[in-house]
Order: sequence, then structure tokens, then C-alpha cells
Amino acid sequence: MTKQTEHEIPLMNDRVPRCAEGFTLEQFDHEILLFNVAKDETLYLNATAAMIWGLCDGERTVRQIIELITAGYPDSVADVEHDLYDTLQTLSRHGAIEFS
Amino acid sequence: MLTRIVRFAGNYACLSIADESLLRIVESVIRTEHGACEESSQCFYSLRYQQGSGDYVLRQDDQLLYAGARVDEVCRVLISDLITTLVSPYNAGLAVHAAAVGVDGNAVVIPGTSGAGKSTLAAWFVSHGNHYLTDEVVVIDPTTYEVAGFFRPLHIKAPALQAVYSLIEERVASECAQQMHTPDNSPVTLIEPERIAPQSARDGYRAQVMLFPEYSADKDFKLAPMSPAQCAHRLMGSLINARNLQNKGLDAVAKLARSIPGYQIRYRHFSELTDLHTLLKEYLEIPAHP
Repeated sequence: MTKQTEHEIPLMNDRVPRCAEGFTLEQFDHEILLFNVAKDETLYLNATAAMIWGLCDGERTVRQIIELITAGYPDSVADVEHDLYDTLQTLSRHGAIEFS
Repeated sequence: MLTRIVRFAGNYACLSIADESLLRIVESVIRTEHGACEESSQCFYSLRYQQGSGDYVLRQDDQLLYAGARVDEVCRVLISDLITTLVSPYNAGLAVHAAAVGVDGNAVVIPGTSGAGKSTLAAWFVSHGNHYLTDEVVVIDPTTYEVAGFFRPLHIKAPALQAVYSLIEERVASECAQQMHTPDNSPVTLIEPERIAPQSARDGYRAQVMLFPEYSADKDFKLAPMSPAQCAHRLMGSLINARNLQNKGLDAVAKLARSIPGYQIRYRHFSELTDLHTLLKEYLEIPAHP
């Protein structure tokens, strides 16, 4: 997984991620498989990643998504934030989300 | 010329072989049937000796696949090309890069990419009295989950060879001398499953459990259930005929993954698998198909 630099993280917070087109979704309870039809590539999202991906609606900023997720984990905000950035990076790297 | 048929995945290929000695070579690596071949067949292979040099010459239709002196290479090319030819048009179910063994009348499917430990784990199952189906590719009926394997001898790569030899009597192991090389020139030893344990012909195994192997020399043993989504993800990575299937096979793979339990298995040596058979038999008693 690509490491973010400390400089990159704050810059992402005001950006608005949205789910990219060209993916077929297969829902398994709380997990998701995203299939990139053009690349024949399958991306597995665990329950947390699936939730984050579902919040990438093209309207919420990264900061708003962080606030929504961390509200449920007040004792581990830093960890959750870190995981969320990682997930967004992974989704972005595989083309599953786009930023505006 | 001698003729033989190779059937798999609802397809067949005709082999036209120059003489008995070449036929013995072919039948040491592929299971064939007697049958008439038509030269107009879409899948027509011919194997003969080159006049003068005595080299092997393998053709599919008019295309030269191999010409050279290496018997292991002509066998490797033949197996590889046959699998591709027979599986490529398959659209009646899932064709998966996987080993498979029959355990108590059910199939244990062992999907994985090259080097994951499929053949080694299959060898271990065979040594425990189970029926060998394949160590390379299976086709799975999407409705009945019936499994058919492309039969070839176990292809054991060098790092796992001593472990597999430990399953065989020393005398027999010394006879397992048929060697091949992968395209990247890694040595592979071919072992007939009968050399490990007696085999009885049988068809109609239904997939009952999937094991996703990881052969690792420096990690602890692990046998952990995987979620259907995780299984489907791994299966998609081993799916061979995605382009023939609706939605690139995602629908059928997801259905299979929801129906058949899957486990990650990581092991360093066979002694760690002592309880696996008992454990699996417990799982296999639970009908997976509603």
C-alpha cells in the first residue's frame, strides 16, 4: 500500500470523493466486491471499506466522511482516520473512487 | 499413426501420434481415450519425429507448437496448449485454476495461482486415501457444483519435492524421475497419484469445501474460515473463462462462494495437517447445498 506523506493528508480533507463508474458491485452482507469491467480486476472491500465507499457520494467531503465514521469510535479517532485515508487511497489507486 | 481423444470441459481434442513410443510419452502425462480423429477437427494435434534429426515435432492444426529434442518440453507444451484449447470455449460453468481431490464422495477444491501450494496439498490428500482429480484446472457446474478436473500427474516444484517424497516409499520415490520445466525454467517433477496411493476411477464429485492454500516456510500454521466475499475475490483471481461468462463470471462466482464454504490454509510442513482430514470430514458431513 502506498504510504501517504504527512503533507498529503490534510490536503485531502476538503476534496469530495465519489464512486467511479465502470464497476459492477456484488454485495455480500456487509462486504462488497467491486469488479472493474474494463480491467478485469476485482477489489474486495471489508465491512469498513464498504461503508466508506458507500459514503463517497460526490457530495460529502473527506472531512465529513471522517466525522461520520469517527463518531462511532470516539476513543480511536486517530486510528480510524488513518484507516480511512488508507482505504480512500486504495480505492483511488484502483480507480473505484474519483475526487472532485 | 495412432489416434487418441482428450476430453475436458465439454470439449475434445484429437491427437495423432506417430508411434507407440510417442504414445507412451503422451500417456505418461495426459489421460487419453481411444477414438477416431477427423483431421478437420478444430482441435487436432499431431506429434511425430522430425526426419533426420529425430526431434519431436508438435503441431496443432497447421501451427507449429514445438520442434526440438526435449521430451519434457514437448510434454509441457502439449499439456499447456491442450488445457487452453479445451477450456477457452467453455461457457457452461466456471473454469478455475485449482487442484481438486475427492474426499468421501465430495470434492475439495483448492484454488490458487501458481506456487500457492495446490499440488503439494493435493498430494497430501492423496496420501490420506483420497482421490486425485487434478492439480491444475477444474470446471464446476454452476447448478450442481459437480467438479471435473483436467487429469495430469501431480506437478511438484523443487521446494516441495522432499515433502511430497516423504509421503511415498523411498523405492517408489526414486522411480518418480520424470522431470519437466516451467516456462521460467524451474524444475518440476511429475508424480503419478497412484505412486502415492491407489486410485479408483470415479466421477460426479460435488464441490463441498474450498481450501485456499499458502505454503509458507516461515509462518505459523493457520486454518481460518473465509467470508463468501473473500472466497469470491480469490476465485475471481483464479477464474480462467471469465470472458465467456455473463458479467465476466462475477455472478456465478458469487453464487458458488455463497454456497460452498472456504478456508484459508497456511502450512509449513505436512505434520501440521494432521487434524485437517478429521476437521474436513466434520465439515463435509454438513450439506453445503440447500
